[in-house]
Amino acid sequence: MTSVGRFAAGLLLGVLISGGLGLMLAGGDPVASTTTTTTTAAPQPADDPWFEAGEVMIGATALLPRELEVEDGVAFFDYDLTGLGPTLASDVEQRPDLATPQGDNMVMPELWELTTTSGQIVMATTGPFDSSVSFELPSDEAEVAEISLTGWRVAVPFGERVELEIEEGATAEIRIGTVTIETVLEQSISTIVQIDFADNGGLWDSNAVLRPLDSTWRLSGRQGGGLQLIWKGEDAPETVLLEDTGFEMRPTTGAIVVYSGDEL
Amino acid sequence: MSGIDYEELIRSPLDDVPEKSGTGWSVLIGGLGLGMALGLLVALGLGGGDDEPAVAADPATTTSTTAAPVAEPSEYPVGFVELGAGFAAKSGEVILGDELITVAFTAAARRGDDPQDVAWPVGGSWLLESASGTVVESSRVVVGRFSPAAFTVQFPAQPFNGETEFSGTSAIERWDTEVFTGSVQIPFGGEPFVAPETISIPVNQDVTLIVPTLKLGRFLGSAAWQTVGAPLGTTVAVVATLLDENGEVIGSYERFPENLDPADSGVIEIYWSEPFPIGQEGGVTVSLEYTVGVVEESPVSVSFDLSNVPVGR
Repeated sequence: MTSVGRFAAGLLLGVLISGGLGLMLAGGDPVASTTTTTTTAAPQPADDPWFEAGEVMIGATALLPRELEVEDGVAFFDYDLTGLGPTLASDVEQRPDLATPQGDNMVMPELWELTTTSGQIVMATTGPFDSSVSFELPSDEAEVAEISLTGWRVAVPFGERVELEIEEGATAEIRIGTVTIETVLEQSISTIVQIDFADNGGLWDSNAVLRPLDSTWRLSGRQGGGLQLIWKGEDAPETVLLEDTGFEMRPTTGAIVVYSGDEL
Repeated sequence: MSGIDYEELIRSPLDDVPEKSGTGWSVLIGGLGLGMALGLLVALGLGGGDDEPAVAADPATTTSTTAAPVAEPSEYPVGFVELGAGFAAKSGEVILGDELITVAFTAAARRGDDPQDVAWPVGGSWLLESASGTVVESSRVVVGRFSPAAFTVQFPAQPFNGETEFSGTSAIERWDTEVFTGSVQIPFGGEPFVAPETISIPVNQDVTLIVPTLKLGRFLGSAAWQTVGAPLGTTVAVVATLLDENGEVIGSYERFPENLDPADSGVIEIYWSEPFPIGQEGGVTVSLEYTVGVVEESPVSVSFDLSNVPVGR
């Protein structure tokens, strides 16, 4: 073999050896280099926020972190809730102007977990109308590393129906409480029926909204989940069929990080 | 052997050129070194220098990369399935009862649409299938009366005979409403006011809204109504607006916004919505504004996976 041949052979061998070595140094796979590679990148998941950057979506409900403040060993985390749910609300125009028109939020936070930078965990709870959660930190010097939502409630309408005899003391049970006919006042040309509702006592259970299914009962007032009905005429029926048009707030658990050190 | 001198045949004239001492292996090694240097440069050029993963460097390798399509932002949040034009739903829980099995849903309007404008369906028919294959048709759809963002579909529990695992549910028929609005004007004689005669309003060529009784008191009012010509029923809402002699609005009797169940008759309670003590004095005309949703059924086929949905009681 001539020196040119030897040089060429050396050149080729050198390219092959160093190519593999180079690819290894660069993180490539020298084995893969002997195959045909066709790469079709998957569509990138859309990361456009629904309402604003930093939002945390829980189904169609968005939790919007607002502020984290630590003072005297207590951490206060403020948030807003909004949602994509179809709504009947007439005041949506008065809500904050966000990029997406706001609808109903069906999720309400309940259970929270805060983790300090030293790994200690603190729990807290919130109620249906809260927009801030407070955590009692292990010490005044403790710093917040992460906050997670670990439990929330979801509105579920059951539309329960109960039929009650029109007599004082008649009762019926629905999922979240007891319906009682408190007063029946028979007058010459009308009958007035006072119906009370007593919930089971839970923080989340007082959402019953009763209404008569027979619309010839006239609804003359509501109070504390109960209602007053008037039947005009002398022929008041013996029973009334009521429907609970409210919600039961059903508990759900999970672990959704809502704060992880980012500046709010 | 054939006796052919193969060594002679492949001999090159250059082979006769005397080699310098030691140059045979040194050329090979030199080529090897230059080749390695070139190879290394090429490989590093192809595979290094940025954070992208390396690709094949062998010149014989065919590499093609199709650029990632630009994904449109999703129309609905994760897990939501479109149920109709502009809205989607997600199943959240299966709730077992003695008589009913309830599948709970939450709803979402399409990205960019105003949730207030979404026309949510008022009912329909669904199927529920258990893990063992039992299939039952729904008995009722319950839409949140004050928020259509929450609704449930209820099924009779008895056919499932204690089964607690469900594979899926699907909508097979959806009740939509085609909405018609309009108004009629009638003379107002001061409160308490009772419309002197039945009001009959053609809503469309098939459906007529009849208001046999319209009463307007100081704070409360009511309108009894019937519709004819709508086999699946209608949803009816009215607003009674008082106008003065110049046609200017004095105030309105309105109802609390809520979802309405389809029916063919009812009584609507309406409330004087203006702040006290503004009264109805000066009103000479009642403008009765109506919204009639004529219920129509649409066959659909939309399935929801329940295999990973929590089951509660």
